[in-house]
Amino acid sequence: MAKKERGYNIVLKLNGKFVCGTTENSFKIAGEVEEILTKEDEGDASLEVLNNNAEGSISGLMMLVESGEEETHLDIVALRAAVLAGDAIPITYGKTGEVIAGELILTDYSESTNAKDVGSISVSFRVVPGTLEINPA
Amino acid sequence: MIIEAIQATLSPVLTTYSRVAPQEVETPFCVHDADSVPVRTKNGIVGYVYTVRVLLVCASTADIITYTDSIKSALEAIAGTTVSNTAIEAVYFDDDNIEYNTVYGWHENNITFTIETKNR
Repeated sequence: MAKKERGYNIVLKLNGKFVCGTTENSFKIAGEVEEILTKEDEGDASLEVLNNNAEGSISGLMMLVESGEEETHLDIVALRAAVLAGDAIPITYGKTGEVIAGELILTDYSESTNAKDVGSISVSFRVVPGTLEINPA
Repeated sequence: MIIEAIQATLSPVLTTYSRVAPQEVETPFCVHDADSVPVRTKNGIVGYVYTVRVLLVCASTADIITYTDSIKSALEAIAGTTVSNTAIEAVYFDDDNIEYNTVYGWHENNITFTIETKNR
């Protein structure tokens, strides 16, 4: 029998760390597809996957790590630095035992703060092509 | 609990009741209640956002103004403190609505606050 999966079980970790205050993640794998039509196909085009592009986002509350959380959590200070550095960051995405691993580059980082509510952050990323692995050893 | 924290905060200001006042109550007094929404992250609940309503009842408009200011000051002063084991992170005055109750012949002010806490 199929079983429902709760969103909080699906976790994105950067460098093995949670992002503080995360309320939502998205992850998308899109095939780069080309239509092939040769004379041998006799008019019926076929599709060829040339590459897979993966991307996603992290959004949530603006939070700072508290004492003792530095080893397990990233906060906005670390995220800002990571965006500016532009380095590839190893990731895991999914639930324990069923993860996708790879490397990503943070491509877009935004913060929003109003006069009353807790601030919010939004981060977009792209996975470095060729780095994705399903359930790596 | 937030109800206990509000009760402890407003009791020194004026006669204060949680949710309902007795039938033969004398003015001035206030009645308060609160609704909560948990703040959920993927790491779990990191706090609560309460909508707190305080109904202030006074015999005159002048008293309404005076006690409204006192209630605002008292609640805003607990931001950043722990009251009745509830860690208060922030207190915001949202709005108020002063009316005259023709049935009872008193003045009322419905005051609404948003209070953010770390725990219940």
